[in-house]
Amino acid sequence: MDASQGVRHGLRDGSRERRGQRRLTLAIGLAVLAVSLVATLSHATERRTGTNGLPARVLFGIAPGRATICQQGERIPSGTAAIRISLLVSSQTTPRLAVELSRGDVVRATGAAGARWDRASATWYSGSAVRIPLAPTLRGDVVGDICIRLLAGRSEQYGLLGIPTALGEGATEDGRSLAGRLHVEYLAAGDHSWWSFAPTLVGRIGRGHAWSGPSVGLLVALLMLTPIALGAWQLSRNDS
Amino acid sequence: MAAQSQRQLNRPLAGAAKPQSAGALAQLRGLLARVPRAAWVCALVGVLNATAWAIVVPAFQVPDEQSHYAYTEYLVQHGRPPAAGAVDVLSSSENAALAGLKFREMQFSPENGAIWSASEQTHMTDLLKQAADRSDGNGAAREVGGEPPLFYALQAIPYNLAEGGSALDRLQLMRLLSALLAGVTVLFVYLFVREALPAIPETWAVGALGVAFLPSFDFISGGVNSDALLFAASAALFYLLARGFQRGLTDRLAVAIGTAAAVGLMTKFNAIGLMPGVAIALLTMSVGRERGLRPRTLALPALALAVAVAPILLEVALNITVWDRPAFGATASNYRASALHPPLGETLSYLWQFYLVPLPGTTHYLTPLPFHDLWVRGFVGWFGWLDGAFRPRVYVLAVVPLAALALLAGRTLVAQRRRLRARIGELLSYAALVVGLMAFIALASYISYLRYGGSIAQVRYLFPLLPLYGALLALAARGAGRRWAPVLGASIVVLAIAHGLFSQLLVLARYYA
Repeated sequence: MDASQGVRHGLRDGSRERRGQRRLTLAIGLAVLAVSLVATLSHATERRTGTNGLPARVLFGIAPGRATICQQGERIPSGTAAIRISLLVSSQTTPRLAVELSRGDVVRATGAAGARWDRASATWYSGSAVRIPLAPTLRGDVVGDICIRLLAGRSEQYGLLGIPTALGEGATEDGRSLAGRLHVEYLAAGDHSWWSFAPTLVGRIGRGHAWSGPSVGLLVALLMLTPIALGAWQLSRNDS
Repeated sequence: MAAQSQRQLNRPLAGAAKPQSAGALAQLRGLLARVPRAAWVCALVGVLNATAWAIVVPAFQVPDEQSHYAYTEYLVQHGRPPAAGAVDVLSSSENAALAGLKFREMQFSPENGAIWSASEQTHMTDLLKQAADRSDGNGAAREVGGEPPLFYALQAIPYNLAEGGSALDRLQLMRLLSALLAGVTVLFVYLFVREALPAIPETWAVGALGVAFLPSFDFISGGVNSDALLFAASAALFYLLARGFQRGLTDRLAVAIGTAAAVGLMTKFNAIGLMPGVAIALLTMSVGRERGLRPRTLALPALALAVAVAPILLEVALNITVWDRPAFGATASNYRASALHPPLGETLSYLWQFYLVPLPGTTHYLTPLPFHDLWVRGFVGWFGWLDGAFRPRVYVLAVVPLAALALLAGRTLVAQRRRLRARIGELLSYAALVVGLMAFIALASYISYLRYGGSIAQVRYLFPLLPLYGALLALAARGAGRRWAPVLGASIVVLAIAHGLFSQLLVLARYYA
């Protein structure tokens, strides 16, 4: 073996060693990433069945501590077991209120006990969000009315967050028309991991696109994972 | 391997000495054949990532997408670009699509998701099917009406391809074109890093993949936004300049640099911010070539600038004679400086704090800590209409890896300071490109502040500098020395992958959960 062959062998060995290091690092890194991903997706948290589509952008009214706020023509999705509304509040004491979902004269669900402030869900412009569990869980979509009975002391006040509307199209306070509608979120019963939520998620991703169906969700998954595989493959292959 | 890389580098890419008789197509094929496979793979990663974002993000939820779509629609329907105006009027067809897609309910409203229910889908489909006028808008005259037409002329191709479909079909095809441009950007980032850092071939892919997985870049490139073409033009410009510094400025390279600059200038006003740096770079290269400043020294820079300016002059001529627009669109845009006479001190104060932090005793125009609140936050991820964000602690924790990358890159530069001294002209040219663009964006924001009280601080406006970010990642990979470069390089790419993946999950949760 002459000197130049020795140098070439040395370079090749060095290159092989670097490639080995890179592959090992990639393998460990991607394994850690996969574990983090599984842990994140296994984390159970509340899931929304829907919203009424109105942004919680404007303070359109101030309700006294004792009043009944009603909103007609709400589309409440099947599986709803709680609702969440955004309010500005004068104190953070346990909220005292009751909710009634009705269609015509038929009460479909009610809730009072267990209402709690939900600071994690409060948006930056809303002071607080309040979550109120309902019973029973709705078994089908309901187009009906939501009435929230505020049962706090007379000294308390609630700021109503939603969007402004023309009088007659908005919510009512003790039968009197308000110039806006509340933002309302509808929540499923209990907490769910992303895994159990995946079929719902795939169904939702399949809507609102140029084509629809579960193929949209599958394509998204493929497009998220293929570049990772390609990038890792390229990096593990050679030095340039 | 290093010797092989050097041989690869010595093979001409632009300005190749081909026989004059060879056809342009054959020359192009020859050029493309010399692009390394690694660059193509990185580009493909960029295209696929941007395509994923193009599907994940609901229609019109990329900033200003409705305006860019409106401009394209106007161009197709009227055969000419729109003129700047006081208000945006969208076409009936686009308005129906926006209503069906819950655009206004979702915009700036993280509490509202995309279309979830069958009834919403039916409502959307009904609205999209309605026959609606596509020519009664003004092309988003206020938002983008004064901008140059190149990006929109390109987007007219997918718009026309989906002629028989709905607005949603057209938008989706237009998004795919933007995703292809993301691939072009990544390709040129790879080539730039290869050209600028020829001694560390093992890090070229690290720089390019770091850009390809950058979620803010993929998010913008997954939407219909003229920034996508500006990123690509700027990346090409950086590559060509680096090539000029490495191998010398030739006639062909000067023309290529001028062409890349022209594409940028015909895409978005922001490209103006790069021009001082381009001029300095050309002059520096030319002085090096002629070994001094003589009249002949200016010949190639003048050639490049002439090529860059020629399409602008053509546009000005068309604006005046055919299109009935102001000669220079910028003079009628939101960022026109006419009738504004701010004191110099206040202007400088704004420029300083736009990127860093307000100095004591100065007026506070933005947030308490703009560097972190606007730029770090934007870089880490601020999606949709700035309504898709991580939890606050993520932005605090993100400072750690970002600072580590900066320190590692700095360490490499210090270790290589002797080599750097020999390339000081090149480094100063890149610095001029950075300063020029940053100053332009900050001034535009200051005009916006004086005129409307708003700020335009968004990290995407700095993405024409992505090639330098790619180079920073490549330098960081060598920050702990040659021995650790493979480990560091792979770690940086894994970090970039994680960043991209969790950002996509965040956006999925924002719109669909």
